Amino acid sequence: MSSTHQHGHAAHDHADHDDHGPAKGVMRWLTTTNHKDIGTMYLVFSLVMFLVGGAMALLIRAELFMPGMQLVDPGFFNTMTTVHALIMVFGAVMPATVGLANWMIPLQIGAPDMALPRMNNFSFWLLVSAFSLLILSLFMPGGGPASGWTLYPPLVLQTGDAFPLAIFAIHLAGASSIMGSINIIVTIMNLRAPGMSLLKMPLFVWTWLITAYLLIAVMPVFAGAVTMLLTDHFFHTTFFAASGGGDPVLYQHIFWFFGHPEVYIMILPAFGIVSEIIPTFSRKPLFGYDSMVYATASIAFLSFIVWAHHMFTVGMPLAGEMFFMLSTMLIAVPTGVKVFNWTATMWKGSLSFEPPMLFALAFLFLFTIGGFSGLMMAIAPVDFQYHDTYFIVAHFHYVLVPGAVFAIMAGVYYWLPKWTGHMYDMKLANRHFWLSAIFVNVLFFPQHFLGLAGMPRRIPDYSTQFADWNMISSIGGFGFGLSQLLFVYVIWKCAKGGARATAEVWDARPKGLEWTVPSPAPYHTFEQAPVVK
Amino acid sequence: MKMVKRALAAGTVLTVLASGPALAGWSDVNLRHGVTELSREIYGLHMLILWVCVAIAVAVFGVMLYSIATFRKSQGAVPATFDHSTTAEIVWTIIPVIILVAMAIPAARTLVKIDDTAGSDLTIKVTGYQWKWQYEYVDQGVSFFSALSTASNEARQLDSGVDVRTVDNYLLDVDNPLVVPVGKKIRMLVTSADVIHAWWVPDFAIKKDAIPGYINELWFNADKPGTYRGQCVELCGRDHGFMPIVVVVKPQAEYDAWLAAQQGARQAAAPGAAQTAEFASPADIHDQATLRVAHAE
Amino acid sequence: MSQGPTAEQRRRIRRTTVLLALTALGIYVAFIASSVLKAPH
Repeated sequence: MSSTHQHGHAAHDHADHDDHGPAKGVMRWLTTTNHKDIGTMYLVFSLVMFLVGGAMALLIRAELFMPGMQLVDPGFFNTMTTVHALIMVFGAVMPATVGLANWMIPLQIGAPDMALPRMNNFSFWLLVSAFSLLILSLFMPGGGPASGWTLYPPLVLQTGDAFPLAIFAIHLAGASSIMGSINIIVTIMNLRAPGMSLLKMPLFVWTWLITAYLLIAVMPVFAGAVTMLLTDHFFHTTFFAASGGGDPVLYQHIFWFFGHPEVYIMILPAFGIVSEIIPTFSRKPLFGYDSMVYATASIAFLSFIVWAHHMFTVGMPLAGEMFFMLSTMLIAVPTGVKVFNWTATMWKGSLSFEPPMLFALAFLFLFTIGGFSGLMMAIAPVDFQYHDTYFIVAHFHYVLVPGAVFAIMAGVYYWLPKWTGHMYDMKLANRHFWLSAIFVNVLFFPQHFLGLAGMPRRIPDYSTQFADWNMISSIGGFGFGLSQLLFVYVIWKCAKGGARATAEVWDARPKGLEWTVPSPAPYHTFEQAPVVK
Repeated sequence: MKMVKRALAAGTVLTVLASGPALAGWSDVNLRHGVTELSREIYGLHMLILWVCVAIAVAVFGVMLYSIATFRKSQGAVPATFDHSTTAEIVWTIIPVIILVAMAIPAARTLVKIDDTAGSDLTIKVTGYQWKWQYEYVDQGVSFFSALSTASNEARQLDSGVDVRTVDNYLLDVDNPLVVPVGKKIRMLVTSADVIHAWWVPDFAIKKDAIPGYINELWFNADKPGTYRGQCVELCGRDHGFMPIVVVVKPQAEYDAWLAAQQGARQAAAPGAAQTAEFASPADIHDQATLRVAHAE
Repeated sequence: MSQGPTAEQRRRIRRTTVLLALTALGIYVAFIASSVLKAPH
């Protein structure tokens, strides 16, 4: 026993000073190795990035409010669409899910912290460096990157001085993700409390375990692709330059081999969150736990063999188009299984509609709509009409905004009292929900019509027959964007104070180890492993 | 209360959206039938998939809404305890697979048809540039550039002072449209001189990327004379939104006359002169590599 | 105070970490190398 104590003490970072509580001031946040602190930093960072990316979206919607050019240069508009996407994908959604992972995984598996606490800190601060570079790139001569977040060559090689900054930003963010994923895997595989077998883990932990493997598999692929962009630009390689015998389409294959699993990386943790919340507020266990795990694993596996559905118009041979059409259609099966299982969880339950449940239910409806447009796009011959139009924009925003983002908000509203020890203003949270749910549809549903009517994407101005739906969409955009200020306020107000939260927080009496510790969760939890039956 | 709120919200949204097409001047909500046999087939496929999705949505959302309305704690519902059913899992795995197979068969058939460029009557090469198209009637000695019309180009400038609603076919009009004969299988060879563009005419339901170093193929057979407008659909730089496509489909005799006039004009203008490619303003091209690619074409 | 990971756990954690890090690096190198092999020189 004493030898274990030795190890226990040695495991402590000196800066922890756990006998005296965390360090004070700025140094606490710079040097913390505590998963709760790091989780909080990721979440705050992601919220700030969400607002920054959102502001760029509002600029886009403002320009698109009416036909004609009113506000910006077309080149700057392209920069806005590019950086809006890079920020939302790599600066908002992914860090938010990592933040939730940091906070909740150790709590949910009964571990005292992540397996690699110092690397955890490094992963976070790497992300801050990455986005400093990206934002800085906007101020370089020639403007920020304007090639779309997909960075296709040859166009991306026309980027000015911002180019190396953008590439390095991506490298740093990628390294951060890879390190975070390694941490998550070794934590889950090694530090589960005794009795918590893999098939007893909460689904949020399962989805993150699978997501972490996806990240390790594909983040290096993206890194490879942008490294080759860098060498093509600066060192006279011609990986993607036709004049040198290279192939621009090779980039697209490599990018989308990363890019498709990337979208599952964004949505799988969201599936996990929703799988925690719906059972709680239905007062009924998750329907089909085992098949939910297998469905998630199937989706992850299938995500590796569908990538070229992003490239149906590139000029692939018939066999290729056929294969990717069929494999893409196949993904609908495990995804459908999950939707049916969530629905069956609600069936004959006893439902209550606190803010987490509201967001989870909105996710269920609206993500499914995104799934339907995705199925339509899988049909390759019809995708020739949808590809690179607003129909695609509508699809991915449905799965990402009322999909991933709503699930993240649901998770925040679910676990915020555990983090802060206070209940938040339910009335305001409700208002935030309804405003968001209504405006998100006003914003994105008309974009289906625009795409079908023939409006291309990534254009700053459009022919007058697209005017009406664009105006409605822009109104929705401003409504949705401004509503998010309510979210910020609710969180800030809750952090400052509020009715005291119990350990269980919710009347619905959620299951899970995180609800057995006090609210707010003590700085160090599960220093003795709990026993799981 | 929440149910009422939710219903009101949904109703408002739906009313706003549904009223759109009813009001004068509002844009379309659906794909167009187009003017080729293939475009109509593609429209049919689109509608088939859409109706399948609607049917599934009605069923699934129906169950969800019913659950939300009926199984409420506030109304004293007591939760059941079941948490799995192998039968259910099998059923709702198999049925989707069957539906998917049913959709895949017509989809595959249409895909094969789109791929078949054999037996064409006319071949035209289209080259994308930043930011205009070049059309070459292969073996006919006719070639020209097709760029955004002056009226549109002036109106779209920032602070132009022009109300764009007064411009005919704003952003969808060019100086020199592509002209083709009706009822003939036209094969397009699609490439680019600089970055990736994409050529799309919604009424023909054909779209292909224009990639430097590649020659992609597509075909169409328009069965109705008229003017059909499309746009570049691959981000290609600053003026990506300002390089439209206009195809004028003429009866055979009129097309022949047009072609002859084009050939005559070129003879008169510059006998034996090569059709040289022009670049977009060099200031817009930053990179050596891009210039190299352009030169290589 | 905290028991922290045992020696055996720390050994496993370190081994898996190295394995995963090398895998990530290997994938990075593999994609670039295969692109180098693809390009005509």
